[in-house]
Amino acid sequence: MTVKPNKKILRPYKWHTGFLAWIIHRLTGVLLFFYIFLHLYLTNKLKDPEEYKATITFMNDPFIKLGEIGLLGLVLTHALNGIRLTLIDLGLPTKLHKIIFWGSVCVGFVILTIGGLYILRGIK
Amino acid sequence: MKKYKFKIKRFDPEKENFRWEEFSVDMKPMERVLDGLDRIKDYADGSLTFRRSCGHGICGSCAMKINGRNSLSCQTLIKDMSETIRIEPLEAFPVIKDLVVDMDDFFKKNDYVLPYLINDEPPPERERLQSPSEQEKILESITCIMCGSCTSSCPIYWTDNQYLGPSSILKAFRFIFDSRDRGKKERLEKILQPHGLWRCHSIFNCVESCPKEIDITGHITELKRLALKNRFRS
Repeated sequence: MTVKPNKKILRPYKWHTGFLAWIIHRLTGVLLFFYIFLHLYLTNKLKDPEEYKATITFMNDPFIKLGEIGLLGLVLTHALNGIRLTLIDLGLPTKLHKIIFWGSVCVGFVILTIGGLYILRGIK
Repeated sequence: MKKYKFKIKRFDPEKENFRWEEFSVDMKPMERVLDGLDRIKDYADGSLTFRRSCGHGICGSCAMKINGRNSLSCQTLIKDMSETIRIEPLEAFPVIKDLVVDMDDFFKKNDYVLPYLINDEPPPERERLQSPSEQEKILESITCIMCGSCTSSCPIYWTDNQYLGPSSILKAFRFIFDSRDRGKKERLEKILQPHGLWRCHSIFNCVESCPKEIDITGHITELKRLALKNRFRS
């Protein structure tokens, strides 16, 4: 009997809230993992006063500030979805998972807007 | 009567290739997708192969991917469909022919969690009794018809073929929380393996695809809490 093996990682399947949340959680997780290296590289420059000054000037660049807003967005997305998953694992009714997801999207946008304005105000 | 286009993903085991084939079928709104498939097999192409048995959502034979979502074709009404109905075999299982998939692995994993009553105590004169509240605890998990829709829709199962899958974990729940069963510890040990319980990431694909509307993720999280409690106690 010939059996066609069916081994694929990506498969077309109907998207819904939980699936979307999982994909976003994975992507933001991977991006944050790589950000840690960038963060370590920059904090490593704090040892030398000259390099410190250059780094601070570089960090004031508007494009870097926009990048910081993006980073805030990444952290918020990953953290809020992490809280959602923890709440479900702790025993919150699973029927609420979609409401919690879209609720945390709204909360995330509010925090991102307020945080973004603070970051932009910091440009000298 | 309205014309519907059935777009079916077929697999010929002799030629070993997948191909899409289209059939135009006249359907009434209250007929089911399975009726359409039967009509194609009877009048258009007798070589079209699919599993079907009871036709009333009980046997779980006719699970397939309809319009990108796993469901039972005998439970999917034509009135809820668009004019083109895309039908594919269940994801992740090896395909034998057309819509027939090899479910050996699925049933092997079901056997792995010891899906039977374990109780050494001498049986009472009549049946082993259960209170209504004890019965209610496992009532939802008992309704599983083992069609394979959940396991085949799980993205973790797509990437990790050794993963037990939502169906077997649900089966373990059904016996672990059964007040008459005494094999709780054995079963928990079975599902607490690297490809078991903790591989579930609460994606909810299984809940979305379950034709019996079982809250599978809810049951799995309850098992996770039980496993955690046991870990702290021991």
